[in-house]
Amino acid sequence: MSASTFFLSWFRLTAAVFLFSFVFVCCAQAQPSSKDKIEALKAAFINKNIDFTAAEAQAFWPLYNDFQAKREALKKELSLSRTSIATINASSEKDVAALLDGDFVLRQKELDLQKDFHKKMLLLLSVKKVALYYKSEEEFKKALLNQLKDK
Amino acid sequence: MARAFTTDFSKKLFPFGVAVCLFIAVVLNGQAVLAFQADSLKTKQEPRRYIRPCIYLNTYRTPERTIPSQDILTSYGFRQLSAGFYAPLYTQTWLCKDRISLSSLHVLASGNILSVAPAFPGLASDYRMNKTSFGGRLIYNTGKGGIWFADLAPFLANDNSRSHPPTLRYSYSVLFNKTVSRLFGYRVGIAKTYLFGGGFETRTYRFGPYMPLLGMRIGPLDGTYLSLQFPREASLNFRVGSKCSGSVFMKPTGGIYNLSGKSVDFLPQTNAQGPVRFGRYEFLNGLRFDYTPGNVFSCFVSTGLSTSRHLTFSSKERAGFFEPFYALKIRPSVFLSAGIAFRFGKAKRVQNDYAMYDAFDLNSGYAGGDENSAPAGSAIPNRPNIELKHASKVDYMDVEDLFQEQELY
Repeated sequence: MSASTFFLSWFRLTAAVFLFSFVFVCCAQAQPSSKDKIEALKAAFINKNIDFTAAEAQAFWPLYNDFQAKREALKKELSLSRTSIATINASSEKDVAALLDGDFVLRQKELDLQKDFHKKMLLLLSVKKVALYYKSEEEFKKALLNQLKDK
Repeated sequence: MARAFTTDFSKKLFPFGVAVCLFIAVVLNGQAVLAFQADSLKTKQEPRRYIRPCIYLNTYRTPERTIPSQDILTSYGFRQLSAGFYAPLYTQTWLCKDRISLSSLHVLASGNILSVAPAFPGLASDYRMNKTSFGGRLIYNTGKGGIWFADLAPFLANDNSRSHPPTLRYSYSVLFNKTVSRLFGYRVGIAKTYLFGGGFETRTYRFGPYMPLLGMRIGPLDGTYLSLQFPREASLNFRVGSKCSGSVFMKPTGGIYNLSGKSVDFLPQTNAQGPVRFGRYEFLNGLRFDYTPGNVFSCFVSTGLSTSRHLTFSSKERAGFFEPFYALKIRPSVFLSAGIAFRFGKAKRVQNDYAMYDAFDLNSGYAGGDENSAPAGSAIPNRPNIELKHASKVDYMDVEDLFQEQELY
C-alpha cells in the first residue's frame, strides 16, 4: 500500500467516524424544546378560535411572532434581575436599588410593548377579534395550568 | 505519474470541499457548531435571523445498464455526490408604511461542490467531472404576501484530468411568489439553468438555458399540498407525524459538464485535443421520505424510475445552445438518492407565517450550483395538534414565561 493510498483510507475512515459521531451527538442533543412546542400549540389554539381572513392572517402572524419574541426577551431579562435579587444579602444597598429600578423599567417596557401590539391589532382586526385573541390567550393558559395540576 | 497525482488530488478534493463548506457555514453564522451552551447569566437576545445556516450532502445514482440499440456506448450508469451549504449573511426586518405589516430582507451565501462519475465503456472507471459553485441569493418578503427571490450561482466545470482550463458558467433564477392564502400560492419568474444539459427539445421548440418559471401550490405548506413548479418539479407532499415527511414527485435532473476529448476519443467526430461538453437530463419519478429527528440533523432517501434519459456530447456552444456531435436516449432505469443535512443556530419563530413558509420552501428548493435536489429536512415548522393532552411533557419551568404571578393563585 502506497503512502498516498494509506493516507486516503485513513482520511475516509476518520471522516466517516467523525460524521457518525456528529450525527449521533446532534440527534441526542437537539430535540425541539417543550417551550417551542407549547408556543406552537398556543398559536394553533389562537388560530382555531379566531376566524382570520387570509389578509388578516398574513399580517397578524408575523406581528404576533415578533411580539412574542420581544416579550420573551424582556421576560428573560426580568427573571434574570429576580435571580439577582435572591442574592440580595451579598449585594450593596446601591446595587439592590439599581436592580429594583431595572426591574420596573423592564416591566414598563413590557407594558409598552403590549400596548403597541394592541394598537397594531386594532388597526388590523375588528374589536371583537382582538377580544377573542385575549380570551384565547387566557383560555390557553387555564388549560395549560390544568394540565400542570394533573401531572 | 502526473495522471496518478491529479486523480489522487481530485479524490482528495471532495472531502476537502466538504470541510470548506462546513467551515464557511460555521464561520458565516458566527457560532461554533460543537460548542454546547452552558447556562449563562448573560441576557439572551432574540434571534435576528429567520433562516438557519445549512450544510448538506446528497448522493444520486443509477446502476449501469446495457443499451441494446447502441454499438459504441453499449452501457451507461451514473453516480453523483454533492456537498453544499447556504448561510444567512444579512437579515433586516422593517415595519411597513401601514404600520402593521412586517417586511424583511434576507441575503444568503450559497455554495456547492459536485462530483459526477458517468460509467460507460471506454471511459476510465475513476474518471470524474466536477462543478464548483459559489453564489448568493436574496429573499425579500414584502409583508403583503409577496416574496421576491433571486439566486445567482456561478460555477466552474472541470474534470479530474485537468487537461483543459475549467469553464465558468452561471445560472440564475429570479421569481416572484405570491402567498394568496394558507392554501394557495403562485410563482412567476425566469431562470437561466443547465438543468436540461445541452437543451430541452419539444416538437415545436427548443429550450436553451433560459426558461420561464411558473408554479402554483394548492394546500398548506405545513400539511398536505400539491406543488406544480414548471420546469423544476411536480409533487404531492405530505407529513407523517412530527418527524417525517414524504412526497411523490416528478422532476428533471441534469447538467452540463466538461470532459476532456481524449477521454472519449472513441466517439465519432470527437476532437481529442479539445474539451467536450457532456450534457445529460432525465426525469425522475418517485418517492422521497425525509426524517428530522431533532433541530439539527435531517436525512432523506428517495427512489423511483428515471425516464427520458438523454445524453449529449458536444464541442460547439453558442449562446447557451450546444450542438451535439453524438446524442442518445437511454431506456428508463431505477434510481436511488439519499442525503443528510445539518442546520445550526437559532432562528426567529415563524409560526403560521405562511409567506415566510413560502420563502423557506423557495430557499430549500433551490440548492446551490444549479442542482435540482433539495437538502434533507424542512425549515417549515409542523402544525401541532391543538389537543393539549399531546403536550404530555409540560414542565412548569418551560412555560413560566407565559404566566403572571397572579394567574397562579
